[in-house]
Formats: sequence, C-alpha cells, structure tokens
Amino acid sequence: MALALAIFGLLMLFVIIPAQTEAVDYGWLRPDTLPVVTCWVVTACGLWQATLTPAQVRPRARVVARLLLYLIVAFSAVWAMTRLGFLVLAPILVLLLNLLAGERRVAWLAAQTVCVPLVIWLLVDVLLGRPLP
Amino acid sequence: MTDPGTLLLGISDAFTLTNLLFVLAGIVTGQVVGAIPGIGPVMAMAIAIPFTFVLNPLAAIAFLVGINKGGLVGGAIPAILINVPGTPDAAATALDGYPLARQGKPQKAMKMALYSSVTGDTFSDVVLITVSAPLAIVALKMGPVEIFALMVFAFSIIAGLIGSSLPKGIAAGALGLLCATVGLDPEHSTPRLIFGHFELYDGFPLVAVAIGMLAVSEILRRLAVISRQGLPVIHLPEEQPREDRRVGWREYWSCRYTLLRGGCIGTVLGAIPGVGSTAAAFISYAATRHASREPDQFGKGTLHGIAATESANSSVVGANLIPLLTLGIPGSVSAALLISAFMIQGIQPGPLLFEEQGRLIYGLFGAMIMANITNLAVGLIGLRLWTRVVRAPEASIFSAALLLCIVGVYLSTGTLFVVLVMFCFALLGIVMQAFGYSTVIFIIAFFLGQRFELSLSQTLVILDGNPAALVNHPVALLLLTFAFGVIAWYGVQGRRE
Repeated sequence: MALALAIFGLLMLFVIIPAQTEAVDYGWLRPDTLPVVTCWVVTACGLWQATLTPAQVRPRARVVARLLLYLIVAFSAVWAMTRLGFLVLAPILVLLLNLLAGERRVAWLAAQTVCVPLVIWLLVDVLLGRPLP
Repeated sequence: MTDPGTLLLGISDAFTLTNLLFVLAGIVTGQVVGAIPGIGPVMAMAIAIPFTFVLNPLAAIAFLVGINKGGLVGGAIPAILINVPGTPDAAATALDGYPLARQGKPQKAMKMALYSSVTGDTFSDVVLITVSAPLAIVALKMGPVEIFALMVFAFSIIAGLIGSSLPKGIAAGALGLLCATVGLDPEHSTPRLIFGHFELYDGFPLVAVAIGMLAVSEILRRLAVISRQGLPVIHLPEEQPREDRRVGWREYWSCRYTLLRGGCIGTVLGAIPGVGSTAAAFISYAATRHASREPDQFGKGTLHGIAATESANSSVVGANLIPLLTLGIPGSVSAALLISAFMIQGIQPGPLLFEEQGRLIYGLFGAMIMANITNLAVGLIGLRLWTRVVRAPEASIFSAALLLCIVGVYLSTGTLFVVLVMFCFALLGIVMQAFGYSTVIFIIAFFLGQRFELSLSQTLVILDGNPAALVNHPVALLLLTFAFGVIAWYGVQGRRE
C-alpha cells in the first residue's frame, strides 16, 4: 500500500495534475499549487512508510471478493436506476443483497423486498414530497 | 457580548413540542442503532443528514445531536450483554459491564451506564455553554493569517493523534486536502481535476464523501464478513431481587468522584480535535483504577469501572462542539457530520455563528439539555426493549441501510452521479481502513481543505509572499511553532515505538 501510495502521488504530479489544471502565471497561489504540494506529501509519506515498516496487511481473498461483488451489485443498481427508476430497481437490490448475505427465509425475503422500498417511497415521495430517482 | 434577549429567544425556541419530538426521535433512533453492533450513531447520523434538510435548522440539528447522545447510551447495551461494544466508545464499558452482567446483574450494569452517560454528557454541555461564547469572541479577533496558522496547528494535532503512525496520519490528511482541491480554485476560479464532469465544479459534496467513507464502506465490509451464527446473549431474567436490578442513590453517590473525573477527562480531551471518545473512556478507566483503593476489583464488575468509562465517553460529545462552534474546526467525525448538516441548512460554522445565528446556537444549547433529560427518560423505559435488537438479522439491517444511503445522497444533491461518487469514496474508505489509514482525519482534512486554501491565499497576499513578515503576527507565529513542535514530537515518539 505504501508504494502504491507513492506511485499514485507521482502519477498525479507528472501526468494528471498538469493535464487537469490550468496554467496561470499571476497570483500567489496558482491552481496547481495545493494539489502539487499535497501530492508531494503523499509521495513522501508513501516512501517514508515503505522504508519504516514492512507491509503486514494480508486481506483475505474471500472477503475481498465478496466486498467487490457487493460493490459491483450496488454500483450497477445505481447505474440502472438512472434508466429504470427507484421503484423498479430498489426491490431487486434489496433482494439481491439479502440473498448474497445468506438470507434464505422466503417470507422474510418477500417482506424485506416489498417493505423497505415501500417505506422509503412513502417517507420520501409522499411525506417529504421529494422525487425519487 | 451576547444579547440576553437573543439568549432567551434561543432557549425558548428549543423548548417547543416540535423540537421535543425531534429530540425524542433522535434519542430513540440513537439508542436503537447504538445497540446494534456495527451500525452506531455515526452511521445513523450520516444516513439521516440528507433527510433533515426539510426540517428547520434547530429541529434538524437537535435531531442529529439526539442520535449522537442516544447512540452512546445504546452502545453500552451489547457491550454489557454480549461483550461486543455497539460502538467503539463502549469498548471500555465491557471491561466491567460484562462481568457484572455475568454475575446476574445486567440491568444494574445498564442503568449505571445510563446514569453515568447522562451525568458526563450534562457536565460537558454546561462547560460548552459556559466557554464557547467567550472563546468565539477571542476567535473573532483573529485574522486570516492567524486562522491559517490555527488550521496548520489543528492539522498537526489531528495527524499525530488519529493515525496509527505519523506518515499514515499525514498521508490521510494530504489525501483529504487533495480531494478538497477538486473543483474551482478559490483565487482564479479555474476548474481543477474535474475530468470533464461539470457536476464537480463545486467539488465533491461533503455528504457523499462522509456517507461513502463512514456508512457505505462499513455496510459493505459488514456484509462481506457477515456471520450466519447468532451472537451469544445474556437474557434478562424476569425474577430478580430489586437491588440487583437498580442502582440506588447511595451507589450512584459513591461514584461521584469517578463521574467527575470521567467528565473532566472527557471534556478536556473532547475539546482537542481528533482525540475521540474511545481514548477518553480508556484514559478515564485507567485513571480511576489508579486512584482506587481497590484496584483489583476492576475488571470484575465494579460500578466505578462503568461510571468511569461511560461518563468520559459521553462528555466528549458536548466538548467536541467547542472547536466546531468557536473556530469551525470539527473535533470528531460526528462533529464533521454536524457541520454538513449546518451547511445543508445554509449555515457556515465558525466564530461568526454566535453573531449571525446566536438564536439558533442558544436554541441548540437548550435542545442539548433537553436531550439529556430525554436520554435518561427513554433509557429508563427502553433499556429492556433495546436488548432485543442486539440480535437483529444483519442482512436485513445493512441492505435497508444501503438503500437509505443511496436515497439520502440523491435527495441532498438531486443527481445519481453523486451517488456513484459516494461509492467511489466507499471503496477508498475500505482500502484506507484495511491498511490502517485514518478515514476520520481524511474527512476532517477534506472539510477544512477549501477554507485552508482560501486562508493560505489571503495570508500570502497579506504577507506579500514574505514569510519573515510573520513576525508582525505573533499569535500566528506561536501557533506555527507549536504545530512544528507537535509534528517533531510525534516523529520522535513514533521512532522510539
């Protein structure tokens, strides 16, 4: 992680910041001053951490895989929500999350799938008068 | 000096039925979520913030403060019943709470935790009410140079105290600052690091960053490691001798010095940005044990152990608001979340708050006192009830919480693009937590970033780019010296460790 942080800092310094900030030749604090300073600090801290202590964190592959799976499911659901809307996607998302978490009781799954989006819809759309996605 | 009329108007604003209902709702929510291991008041506050923008500012802030206060009481329940603290703040409570519960006195332990929590909380609220207005007057006399130096000083303290190591603490702060630079720069108003997304002209929304890093990352992490086995729980026996179920006045009064010590430790540590209530609870526990005539009783179920930890961790809540209301610097994550609630309502926290929003601030103080009384009443009635939620199915809780996060962020910004940004920050939060980088310091640095850059720009203009001109600003010079001293001291400490 420490080396990755240092590489990220260097990538920001030499590739991303020059491409994503405008060059200005007046004023005390230019648009790229603070991003450049923070990236130098990030790079230095990454190198400092790498030299001080060896990496000891070994994430469990199963947990990382499950984490990524949940993230992909949630991310995809939000992306799909932009096209199909909350009322279609929310029950599917709740059902999927419950199934992935190991919930197998049919009645419980059905109640969750219907009740959670319904309560949110009632609270936001009806009570607060705000539109849902 | 505060106008007495403003003070009275503010307090009278607080004591209305509407505010009482919102405080009550916050306290009940806080106690319930606090009792569920893994959720806690911070996540509940993060989820609730976007829903509060339809409320008036006082009701919204009072509701969130209620969640925070109630969460600290609720967090003690699983710590006492199953030796699994509902919140990190309650970890020290388990040291004596769980042994007392195993002796067949779980209700006595929970009631002592409740009384201690309310006592510590009230103590720190009184300190907050007393010192914040005079401190704000002092803060108002500070110019941009002094404010810039103060921010550097705050960053140095936070970096050393929160991070598991100094380079990790500084790196987390630098990453937070870097993310704060996304959007238009304050001096030239040119877009930076927006990758063609006009939605990022105003930078990353604080709500998306806070909810992503604090709530969504924790929800995803808990879903990934979910266990199908239930937690072993101590059931509350129906028939018990009265003295095993209650805490008598004599028992409470015998803990008065412990409670006072805990309140003082929590208040002092709470006023320093970044220390947090978990550290306060453990320090108070250690100090009480050291001062006790019976130190061998600690860890075996003594009421003094519970009183020490709960009074200290709860007294941090009020004290955290001292730097927030006087300087606009959040002392903890919950304070940072309160700032985002203020900002949703169009209010900028800082020393001007007492001048511009005096009525609201005194209303908030009134609501905090009301919340303490409500916390005690709800706790006395609900403690037995909340013990049932300790074993609530995690899959149901976290899937509902995730949906609430999505809806909450969408409501506050009106675009699903920001919801996707929230997931990116959730991923960043997971990675940072996995490798021991503090997300708390990241969020505080992110929040302070824009003000930091603005005050730096103003400072450079005032000093004409000449650092030697700092001699004309002795307060700033002193603060900067302290900041470098703190960083050097933590560097030496880290090398020794």
